[in-house]
Amino acid sequence: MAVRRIAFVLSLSILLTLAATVAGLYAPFDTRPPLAEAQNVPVLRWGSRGEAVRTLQWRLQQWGYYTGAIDGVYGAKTYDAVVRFQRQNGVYPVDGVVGAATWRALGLLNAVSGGGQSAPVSAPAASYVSTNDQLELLARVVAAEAEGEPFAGQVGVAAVVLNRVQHPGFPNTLTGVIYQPHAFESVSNGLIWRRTPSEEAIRAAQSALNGWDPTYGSIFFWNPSKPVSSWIWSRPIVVRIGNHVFAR
Amino acid sequence: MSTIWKAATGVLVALAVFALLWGYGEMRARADAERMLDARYQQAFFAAVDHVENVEVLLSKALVTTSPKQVAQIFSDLREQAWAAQGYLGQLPLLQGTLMRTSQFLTQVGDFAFSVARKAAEGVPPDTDAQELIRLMKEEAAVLSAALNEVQRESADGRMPWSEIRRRANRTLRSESKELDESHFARLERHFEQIPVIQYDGPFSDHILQRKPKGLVGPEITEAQAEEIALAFAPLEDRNDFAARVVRRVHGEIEAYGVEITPRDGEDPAYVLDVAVKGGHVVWMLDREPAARSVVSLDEAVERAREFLSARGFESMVPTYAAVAGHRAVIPFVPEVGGVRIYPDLVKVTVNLETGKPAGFEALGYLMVHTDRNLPEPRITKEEALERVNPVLRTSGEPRLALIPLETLEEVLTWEVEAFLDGEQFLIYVNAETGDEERILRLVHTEEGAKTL
Repeated sequence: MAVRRIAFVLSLSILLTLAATVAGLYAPFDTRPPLAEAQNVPVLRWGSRGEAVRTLQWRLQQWGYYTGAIDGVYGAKTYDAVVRFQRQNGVYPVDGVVGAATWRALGLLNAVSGGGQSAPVSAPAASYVSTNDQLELLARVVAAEAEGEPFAGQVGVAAVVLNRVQHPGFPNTLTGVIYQPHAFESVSNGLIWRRTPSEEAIRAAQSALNGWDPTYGSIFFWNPSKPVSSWIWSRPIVVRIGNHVFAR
Repeated sequence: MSTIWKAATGVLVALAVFALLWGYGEMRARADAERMLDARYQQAFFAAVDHVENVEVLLSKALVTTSPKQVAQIFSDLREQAWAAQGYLGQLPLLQGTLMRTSQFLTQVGDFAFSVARKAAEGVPPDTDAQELIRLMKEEAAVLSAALNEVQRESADGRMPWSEIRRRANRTLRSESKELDESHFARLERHFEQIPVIQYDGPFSDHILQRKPKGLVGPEITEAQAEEIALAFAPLEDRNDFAARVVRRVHGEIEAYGVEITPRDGEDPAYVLDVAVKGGHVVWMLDREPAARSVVSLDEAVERAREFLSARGFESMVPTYAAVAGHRAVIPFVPEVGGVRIYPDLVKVTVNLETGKPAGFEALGYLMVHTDRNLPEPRITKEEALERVNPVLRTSGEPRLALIPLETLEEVLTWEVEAFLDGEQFLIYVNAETGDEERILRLVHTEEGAKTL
């Protein structure tokens, strides 16, 4: 009898461990540390109305998740779009509720949070993203792609992103460039959302936005000690800073 | 004994069943996600095909039209369609760089269309060069359209295996294989690498993408000279405490030495700067000192920046609108020559607002375009310029002469007029020769400075 009880306890504990492991697989996604202290972030769910919902619909439409009207009413179509966005971008729980984590993944946290910096929430008609959003996104790319690099190298990585926006062969918006498939490894593997940009990364992004470009218009960078496609070595190399080669 | 075995078997069976169910669920979720992603890529692909076809149709219409009204309409549509096509192509999950030249072609079509539409607005119809370019672009658009259609036909059910393409791209990205992806896309890209040079009046024209620096004067310098120049340039209290070293060569639009200035008692460089090989000009400088709070006022920072510049040979520079972020002020300066502000020759200085020290310097744009200019005499007077400004605006102060760069890098002499509407501040630039309004800037006042948009 005792044996059976032991076996029961054993099996129960194995199952619990398994369950915990499975749950643990998802847990790291939730531990994204915030860049800015979120204050008064509007929480949207089915039935919400207002300007924040319009902003949400507008961004979801921009990124191709939402096809309905931008009417400021959180209905079935908006719910579907939010859930799809959350699932595809690893925002857990996938519940259709738009809180701080989802706003952040949408790049709108600063825009909708009250207090602190008062970045304007732009009208849906204008394709205008406030400088704060740009800075945050760019700083995230720097943090994920160039952590531990010399400062000039971090500025260089940010400059490459901005050079691509200006370059005719790449998308002409910052989000278009950053989210272009296969463009940045940290976007593909999600690292961009897991690292908090350091003060240095933010300063590097800021310098690049202000026009500093140690790469002289480069549109590629790579780490030569990692395997990369041979095609990329055919690009004219401008400079090597730290562990990165920059090329046009 | 047998009870233990039974129990163990029971546990194992339970585990197996659990694992199976879990795995099945995961598989379903994955297939779901993949289908969803495929649908998005498919949508982007179809949209790209659509827009490319529209581009071709519009280009052929552009060839045959004679009415100026049609020209304006066709070319503004063309620009929209070409840029949309470029945008959607950029969303396909292809290997980095696969469609770069193809995208560049589409951007150039849109940009060219914009320049034609702008000229049409001024009453200038497309000339024979433009006609020639339209013909070339139409042929190339047809090639592109045919290639995309072929890609689409090849997949039996009309659906592209995007997940497969994505996985292949991932593999090629990581492996060092010399094989380039031999897909239709790669063939298409090779075609566009060989099309003739596209030259017209716009920022993405080939002659602008391949410009050369004008501002480098003097003989080539050695590494030792570059180190000397760097030590003299950086704002060091006592240069004997620091050592400069050339750490890299830079082969950008400007050939340069990368120099690091390191304190003798430290390891991390305090300043990094690039010194041009020809002429020994400093191209840019960055420091690594953080700023935690603002002690120095913006006015004082501007003064420090001005001193920094004039001590380094940049005379008669006037500050334009500064921006503050992270306790650093970025202050752009332009030279004033004979009462004319030379905006193309802009240099920027960053000042650390905690220490008050200059922290950064940027002159790449300056070195690319700076040259001795023969400025034309204005044909329009100050008063005439003010009359050209929209009467809804309330102007303030005297207009002043300014040389400004257009997108095409062409430089025009203008009257700069400061004006207000509903509390918003604008800068209006009126061409001093033709009287046309060339550009409007809006100033955005942040907490600690103004920034132009």
